[in-house]
Amino acid sequence: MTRPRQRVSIAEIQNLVSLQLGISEVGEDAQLVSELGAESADLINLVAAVEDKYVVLITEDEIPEIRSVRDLFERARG
Amino acid sequence: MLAPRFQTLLEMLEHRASEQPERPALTFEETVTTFGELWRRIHRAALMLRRRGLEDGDRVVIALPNGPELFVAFYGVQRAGGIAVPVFPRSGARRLQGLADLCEARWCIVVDSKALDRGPAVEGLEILCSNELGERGIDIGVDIGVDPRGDAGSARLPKVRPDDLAYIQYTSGSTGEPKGVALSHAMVLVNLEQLIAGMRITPREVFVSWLPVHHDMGLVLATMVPFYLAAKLVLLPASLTQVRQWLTAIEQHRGTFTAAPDFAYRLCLQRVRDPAAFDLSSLRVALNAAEPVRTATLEGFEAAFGLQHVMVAGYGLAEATVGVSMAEPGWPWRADERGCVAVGKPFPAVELAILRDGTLVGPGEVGEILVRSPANTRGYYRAPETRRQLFWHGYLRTGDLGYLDASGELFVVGRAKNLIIHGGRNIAPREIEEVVDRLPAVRSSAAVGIDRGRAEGEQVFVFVEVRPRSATEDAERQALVIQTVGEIHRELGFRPGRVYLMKPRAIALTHNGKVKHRELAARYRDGRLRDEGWIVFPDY
Repeated sequence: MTRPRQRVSIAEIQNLVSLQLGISEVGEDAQLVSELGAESADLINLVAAVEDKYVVLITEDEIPEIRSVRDLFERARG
Repeated sequence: MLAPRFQTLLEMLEHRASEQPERPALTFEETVTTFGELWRRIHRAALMLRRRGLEDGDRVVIALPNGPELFVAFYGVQRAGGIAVPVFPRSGARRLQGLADLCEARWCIVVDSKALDRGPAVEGLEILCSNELGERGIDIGVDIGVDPRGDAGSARLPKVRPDDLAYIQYTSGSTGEPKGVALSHAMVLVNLEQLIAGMRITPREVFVSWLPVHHDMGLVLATMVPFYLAAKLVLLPASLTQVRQWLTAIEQHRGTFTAAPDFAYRLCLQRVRDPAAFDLSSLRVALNAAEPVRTATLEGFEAAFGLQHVMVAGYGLAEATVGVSMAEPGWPWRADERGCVAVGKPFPAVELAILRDGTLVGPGEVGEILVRSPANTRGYYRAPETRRQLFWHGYLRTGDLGYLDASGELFVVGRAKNLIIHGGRNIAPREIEEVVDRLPAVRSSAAVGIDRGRAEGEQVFVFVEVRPRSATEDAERQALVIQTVGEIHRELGFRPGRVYLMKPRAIALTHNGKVKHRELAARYRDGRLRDEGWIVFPDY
């Protein structure tokens, strides 16, 4: 299923992280592991959610570099 | 051949404490606990529990993370004449209450009783904090001094016999009601002998383990075996956020034996970019078990870390204490044309058979794997009605599908039970659905396992049908998903991979009202749920 490439906003990524981690308030620069308590599987699921929503591909190699909400935003922009 | 050298697990620890009191029982986060100290603390804990009113055969739920306190609680309960019920340490209050109700436990031991306040009140259950157990300075009504065997006060403690239940291990049944596997000291000790003989483990072995100690492989193989042999044990916190710590510990302590589910080794492959920086050459066995074993993991891990014939596949289940079979270390692994990896021949005194359509079938034929072993449970705790389903003519029915080849080696093909394997932990869909169905806006829900080929393997996807006129705006929908994820995390200790809000009747049911999990997963994977408009929220 292909969908047109969407423009990404940081607010959308905050929403997405909020949904995945079950946390209402997520800051733009929140650290995923140390502040939001994400575990290894949660990071993978966040990446999968970004891939599904924005039709981008994030490789396994890039995952350890994604530490904050903003990092995820940068990856979502492709 | 399989005569354990101890009658009970307590005799094992007491023997170590009296013969080798200064010998380290375990190293946890740089702190060494000797057998002498461990036994003293166990003894104190037992006296305290007894003084609080614990009686013979009482069940005590233990929700503690890896560390010496878990052993003090686990064996302290047994020394006091009780039955330990170790559970997932991050279980929420409702979950703990549910497990305590199932085994009619009166006590629950946790790290911090205040942490439970966030959940509903835990009623009729006395909560003890692990730091109240077995510490110096606690008034236990008797001064037990420095006697390494901690014999003082023994007169008040009951005699524990080999056939007494040592602990109850809760596992997910296919119907969702957790099943308490009841295991006696004798059964567990026999399995220790089976593991030691089958894996040729010696007292010179150095165990390095991060596996959760509350669960079978982390408890029996990774900690009881080293205690039994007085082999070195390096225990790590049960977290895989930092796989490097595991590899570092193996290198630093010259570990020879480690065990993990397949996903943990996959994580090492994908997260560690400089495998050559780790010297794992001390490893004799890296057991891969508790999850389907992938040939790519066996190949990849050994190639990346410069090892040969070290990673071996094994098979087991809590109903047989833990270990049933393991492939031979030091030999190349074998896989069939489907990619199923051989998990070895049965351990001593274990007999395997394959059941199909009510009869045993021969080599090469796939059916349900049956296990006959003196380490088998006799049944689930206080559930005599389950005995008929659990056994077939004296064999334990595993619920797993597999076959034996002509040489008697076992190949596991799949599972018959409708379980999700998440991070090496078996979860029944019903356990998750019960948590979600309690939310007021939820009409019904279905949880399935979806494997997208990432290192973490199967993830839990939850599909939620919303009540009419509930959550009609995006903001309400967002709030409901957040609440759903939050509840699952609080009660079960993990977060789902995705939560979808669905249109009414999106979740197909059988004629007697059961969720068709496999069909739902298939409809999600091939895009039909999305294309046919069943998914309301979110839009990805």
